Amino acid sequence: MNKHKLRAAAILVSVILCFFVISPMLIQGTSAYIIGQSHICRANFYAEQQESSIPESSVSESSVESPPTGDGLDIMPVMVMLLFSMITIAAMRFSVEHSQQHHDTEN
Amino acid sequence: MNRKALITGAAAAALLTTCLLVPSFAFLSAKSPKVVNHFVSALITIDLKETLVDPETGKKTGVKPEVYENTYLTVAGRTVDKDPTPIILKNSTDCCIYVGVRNEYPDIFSIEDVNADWTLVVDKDNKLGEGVAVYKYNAVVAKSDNDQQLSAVFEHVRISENFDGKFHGASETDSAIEARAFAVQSENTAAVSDGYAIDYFSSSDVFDKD
Repeated sequence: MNKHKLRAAAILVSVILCFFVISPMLIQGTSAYIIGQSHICRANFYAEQQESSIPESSVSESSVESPPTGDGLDIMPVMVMLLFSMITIAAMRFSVEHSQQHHDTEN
Repeated sequence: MNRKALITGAAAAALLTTCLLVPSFAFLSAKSPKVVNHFVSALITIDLKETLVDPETGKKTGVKPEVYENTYLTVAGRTVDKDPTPIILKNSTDCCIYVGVRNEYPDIFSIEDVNADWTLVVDKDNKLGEGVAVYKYNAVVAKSDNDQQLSAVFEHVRISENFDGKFHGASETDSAIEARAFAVQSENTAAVSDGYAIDYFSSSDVFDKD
């Protein structure tokens, strides 16, 4: 019984290690470079017949500054995290079922 | 007599032991100064601005790049001022700078007077969307304690003489040219940075989200 508990614990520890060690390494691999991106700079062109509705607000808005944006969320890290979460759950279920099965057999 | 000799012998042995052990202890307990490595995460912070323009004339009214948006009256044959200028904020790590420009109507608007400091990146695999061009700053921008304003990517946009007064897209009366700057660390990326920038600007929503 103890042997099976130990095995289950070992599987669990391995999966957790994979989650916290290997998955960050994979994530690192997908977005390793340091990058930066700016705010969008926009030129709005309007045709002459719309002269009466010159968007004055857009001119005044242009002086409103906002800070540069940071990096966007990459889908790859999310997918990797999701994959390892599924593996973790599957391994835990397997180990619990296996232990239970062995326990039933012994009884 | 024997007792005195015993005490003298013991004292001599203790002295000899001390003489032997003290240098040994001194040697064994010697230690080097502590070496501490501090790792801090590097970052790049970049901004892109242009000089304020009079909507009616299309000419600059500002003196330096300070706005994110300008509005222009579209007059056939007119050349208007537009100078997207990247600013690398202080303490950004050494980096290569790219500016992507999306021009919805290349047949109406043409980018003119590209600065000599900038080079058009060749999109060998045709990854970029229609009307999107990417320019690369010719030098690596080194880390600095101060903000660094680069030269403008280009200076003017020319409106075609054939513009018939309306756009043939989602809106007949409005169009836009968007630009965004992108930076990637220069260290260890010399061979891949162009492709990295092309991939970035080939994303469908890169010019839509602020």
